[in-house]
Amino acid sequence: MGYVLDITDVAAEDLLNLIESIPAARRRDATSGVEAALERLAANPKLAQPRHLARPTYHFQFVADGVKYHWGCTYAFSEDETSLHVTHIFAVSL
Amino acid sequence: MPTVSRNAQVLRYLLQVAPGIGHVKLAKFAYLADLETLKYLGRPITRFVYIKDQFGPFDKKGFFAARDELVGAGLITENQVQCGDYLGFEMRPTDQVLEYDFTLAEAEVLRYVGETYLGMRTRELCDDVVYKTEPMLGAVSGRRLPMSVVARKPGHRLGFNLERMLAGEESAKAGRVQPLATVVDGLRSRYN
Repeated sequence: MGYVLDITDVAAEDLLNLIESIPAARRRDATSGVEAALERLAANPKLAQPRHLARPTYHFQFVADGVKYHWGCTYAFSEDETSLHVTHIFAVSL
Repeated sequence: MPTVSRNAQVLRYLLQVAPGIGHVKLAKFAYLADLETLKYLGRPITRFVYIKDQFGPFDKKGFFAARDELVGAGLITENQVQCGDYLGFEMRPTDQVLEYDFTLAEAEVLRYVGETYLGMRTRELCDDVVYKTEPMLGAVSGRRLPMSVVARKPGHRLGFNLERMLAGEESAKAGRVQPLATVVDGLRSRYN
């Protein structure tokens, strides 16, 4: 069973900054790529691994206008464990 | 309220998270905390200068000076205890209040290190964790450890940021969240 997918104000700002950092022609694809990746995570949080002081961290890839991007996010469950809150979104250095 | 050095603050905070540990474990916790803060924040949390000692990274003079400071200020107790064939020390924080000057990220690193490694035996901690850290690899006995090898390198300006992750966690706790779909719809409307 999947989780309700929420994003914090901090992560929403991260996402906006990341999307705005790439060429305008790729932004729409990138938005869809991130949405699809985070939905996969909400359906299966075990896709994440403990990194960054043991926080569950999910690295994902997507293609925007033929260019591959590697980004990641951290998350925390809500107290009632029904929702997954994305707490930070970032670019992954390869 | 007593004021103590940064090194003493780090040891006291670690003892609050992991009360009852001895000298070796406490010194290793401080070292591991330095590695984490170098990695995430680009700076160590202590002012210790690590030498490759018989039991790994250690700033003997700095460590015992900080320990003496804490004992003298009544902030920790230290008792000799029998540990198998040898005598060891067990240190605990007292009830005396100490105001720390750590950032949220620094405090989180200390909590993480204390909680993560508290359950490990000292030998296991040294062999499986500390001796395998990057500054220890190829280190020469009696020489200063190259701690800067783990320091955060200038990477993507929007790469992982510990402070932002912690801010995000605070936001989640405070209920500053919204459905992802709402945010994504907002972004899509910008890029039509």
